[in-house]
Amino acid sequence: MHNFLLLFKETEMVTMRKSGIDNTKRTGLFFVLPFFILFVILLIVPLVYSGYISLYNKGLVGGNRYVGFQNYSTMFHDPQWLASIAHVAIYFVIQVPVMLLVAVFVALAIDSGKLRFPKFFRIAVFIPYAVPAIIGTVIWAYFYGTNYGFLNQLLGYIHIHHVNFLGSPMSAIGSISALATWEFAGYNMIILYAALQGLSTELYEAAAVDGAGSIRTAMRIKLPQLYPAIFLTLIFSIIGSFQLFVEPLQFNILNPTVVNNYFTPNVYAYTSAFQGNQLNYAATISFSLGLVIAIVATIATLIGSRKGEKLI
Amino acid sequence: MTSKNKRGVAAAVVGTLIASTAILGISAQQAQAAAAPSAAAIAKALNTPTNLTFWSWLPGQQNEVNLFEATYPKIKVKLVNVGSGGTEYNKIKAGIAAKSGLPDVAQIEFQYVPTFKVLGGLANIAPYVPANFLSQFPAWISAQVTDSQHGIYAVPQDSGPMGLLYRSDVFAKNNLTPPKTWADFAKDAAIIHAADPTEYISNLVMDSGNMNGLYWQAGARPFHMNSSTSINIHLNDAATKTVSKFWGDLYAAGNVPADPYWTSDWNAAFDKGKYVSWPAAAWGLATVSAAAADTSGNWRAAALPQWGTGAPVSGNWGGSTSAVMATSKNVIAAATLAAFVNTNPTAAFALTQAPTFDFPVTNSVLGSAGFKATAPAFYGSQKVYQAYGAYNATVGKNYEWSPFQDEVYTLWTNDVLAAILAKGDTGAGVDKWQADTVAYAKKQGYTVTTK
Amino acid sequence: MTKKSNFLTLIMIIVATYFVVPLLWVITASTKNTTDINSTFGLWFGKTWHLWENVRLVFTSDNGIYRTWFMNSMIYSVVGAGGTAFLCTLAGYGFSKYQFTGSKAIFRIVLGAVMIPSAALSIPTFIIFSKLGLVDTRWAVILPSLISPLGVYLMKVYSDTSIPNNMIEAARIDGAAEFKIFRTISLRLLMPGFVTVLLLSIVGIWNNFFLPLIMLSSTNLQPLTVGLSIWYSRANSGGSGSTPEFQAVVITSAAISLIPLIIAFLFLQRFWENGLSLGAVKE
Repeated sequence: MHNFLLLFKETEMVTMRKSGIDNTKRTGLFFVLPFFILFVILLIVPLVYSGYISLYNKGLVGGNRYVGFQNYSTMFHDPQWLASIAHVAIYFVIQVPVMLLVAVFVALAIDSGKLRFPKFFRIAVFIPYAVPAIIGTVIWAYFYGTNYGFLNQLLGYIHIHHVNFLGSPMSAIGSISALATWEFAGYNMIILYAALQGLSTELYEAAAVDGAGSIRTAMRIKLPQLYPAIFLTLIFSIIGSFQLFVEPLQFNILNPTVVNNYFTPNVYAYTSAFQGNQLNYAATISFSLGLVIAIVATIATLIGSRKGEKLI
Repeated sequence: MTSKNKRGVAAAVVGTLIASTAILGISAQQAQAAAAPSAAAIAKALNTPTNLTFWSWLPGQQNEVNLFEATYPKIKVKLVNVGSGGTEYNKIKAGIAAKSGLPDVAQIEFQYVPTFKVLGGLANIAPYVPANFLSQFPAWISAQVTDSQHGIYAVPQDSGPMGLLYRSDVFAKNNLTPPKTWADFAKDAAIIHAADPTEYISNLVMDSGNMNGLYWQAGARPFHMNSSTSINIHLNDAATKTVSKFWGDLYAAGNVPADPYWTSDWNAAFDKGKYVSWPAAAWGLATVSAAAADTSGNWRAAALPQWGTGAPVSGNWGGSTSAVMATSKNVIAAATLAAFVNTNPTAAFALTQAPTFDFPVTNSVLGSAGFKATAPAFYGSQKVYQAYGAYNATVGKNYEWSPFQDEVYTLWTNDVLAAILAKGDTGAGVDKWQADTVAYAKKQGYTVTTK
Repeated sequence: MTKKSNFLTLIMIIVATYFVVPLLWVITASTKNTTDINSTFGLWFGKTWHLWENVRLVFTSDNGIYRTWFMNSMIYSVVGAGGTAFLCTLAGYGFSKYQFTGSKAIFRIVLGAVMIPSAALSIPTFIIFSKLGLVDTRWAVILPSLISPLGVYLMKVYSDTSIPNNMIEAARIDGAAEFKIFRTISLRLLMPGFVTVLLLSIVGIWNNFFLPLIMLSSTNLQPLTVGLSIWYSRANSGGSGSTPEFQAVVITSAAISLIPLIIAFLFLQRFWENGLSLGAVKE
């Protein structure tokens, strides 16, 4: 009896292992399928539909017409679109390095062990991430008020009055950068800090024996090992900064001629769709924005790969 | 929400209708509204249990809705505030594009009625209201909700005749009386600001609707529909250029500041006495009294300064309607709701009281003694509604809106306001406004004339 | 124990001030009425104590809609995040442990999807959903938040590093079915990553604004972000019915809305770091 059961089990296992190879592949598909089905319906289909709409033009009069790439051609010659791209490009170049610098500094400072109350600082810098962008923007809108805003209130004590933080495109970009840094530096800091926690401590001990101070340890040992994590935050920031939307949309109320309806590509697409009744043009802008982001992010990934890091 | 079957059949019917009428260029509304229901049919519909959805941002709208439900107990109304102005309009546009998600009745300002009519979003309710329905409104009001075929696409709710709200104490301090002409206004501006650098006669008119009302007063009539596919656009006429240059000069001289409207800063400025007057619509009475509690008792209303020497003329800024959406499944009940909350005598009067303080559009309320006697302490017990009633009678006639008014306003901000703020050539700014609007209209498929 | 640096602490105090001051402002502003907000010093209290009045107005305005908005944010966050974390765990595990045809290509597509501007998708998604009759329902917000390409990436990496392949092989040899292996062995090991994706998603969905803005018309379905933006524009905007004194209520409602996430952050810090570290440090 016992032998028979053993034989049965063996046969079963053999059959299982045979079908196990096919089973494994199929099972893998089943694991991925629920996500992938929703992914296609909710991401791929709308994306393709968006590209499809961008090839048509539907006016108030005359109905839906196929126009090929005319919308794209219009867009490339549209000074407002060019301005919107310039704004996010400048915003990216200003905001991201500053924010990452702050994130790296804070992460290293907390990790150095030389800081009093490190837990307090960690949570203090991270807390703004818990604030939704729309609410953060509302709060900072009160800060930026030209006449009775909080910042002007503070500046008034040193006899500087009525600074218009949104008075020109550059100052608006600067003001939005300040807000975005407040919102996201903590998030990036936590990623970097987590990465630092994963580093082995042997190198530090060796360095300490050699007499290296904490600053040199940070710069020469920790920082180079942080590059993959910094790179990750950079990619996130590229994607996020080119999509700038909620902040300029809300700040439009504060200065409609500067933070105007084409301040960033996403704002331009949104106002074209709704105020301007130009759904097709809006799709064109959104679709091409996705392409721009993909290209920039890919270039950044390639540069990063050359430094020997693989992401996939 | 209707079951899938019902929606499928309805969609097929509507789809066929739209397809067949689109070729002939007839709007779907008119094709459906060919046969007016009998009085019996209307009465039956109002006695059938119905659920209506009503989008409105008007504070206190629930009062009128309650009155309606009391009169028509079988009809339940769900009042929803989905946001004011553009926020609600974006939702309506999205709903029109998706052909679902729309209410039965929505609050729509006058300047956007043509926009939604052209998008096919509004129902023609002429068959469901009495034959002389529009006669209860001043002609220039009813003209904005009807067309050459005498369809009715919205029920007027309130309007915004313009006058000048001013600080009588500050004017008196400077030995000035409210300016009778715009030339006087400019002179007073210089005097007031020179006497006290923290005071300005008013803010720069940075709001597109506010400035448009002043263009209206000066005689500008920029739009006229030649037909449903052809539009006449003449934004860069002498009146518009004169008014634009006037404010450009004031700003360049430093006699008005440029603070964006509708911010906490702007509200605080009234309270601190930075603005000494405001060429505002009647609903501005509520805005100033809410914003400037510290200056209570010192504000008065006067007529707008004039350009010419003839009979006084005013302009209009804002004003809303209640419009029935074309997708409504209960057009009769919806039309009755829209009409009731605005023209039923009790409801119409309630609109003028707290917390709404609307300026009325029905002749009966305009003429009522109770309304005219209103004398708020904030305005030094001046009979402000009676004053504004007089300005209302002088609002320039025959004003027509474009079917894409929000784009027109956006272009105004980018072209004209930008020129003013840059202390540049406002005439060129207005010309650019004209050119950009013409280009936009053409892109939307319209034939454009520019007489 | 390394010697503490006062200099570094001082610099960090300055840095931390930048991040903390806006939140202090919101707290003190909540205690004032609109006039005081505009006239008294931002970081100290006003002439009168208005906090209880403001809080009362927050919870009673518009028939207490604030409570409904709050509940909606919770529902969307918990359901959406739970669903996402579950789907991401399944998918990440699938990509990590199984090599089926096209798995590498599909994974690259999923990763690339991180770069798609979500604002671009909202309008086409709206049109598709309305054809399906889903607009202005809770599903309109929950379904799109169920897909997180980033979550799938994190779970795949986590699965790669925390589940040894030989453990799975041994279980297979013992005759266990694939789902049983997943349920009894792998899931336990994946828990920290699961919690990380869960928390990231809760924050992301709680903060989501644009999607619910265009999908939901009924105020009783809207989350806090949309509700507060409506109140904010009402406090500032013009036309009949502008109410500047409403500003104090807007600020107080913003302050109250921050409480849940901040509490969550304070208590769940540990999980963040453990989970994120494995996504950040490459193999």
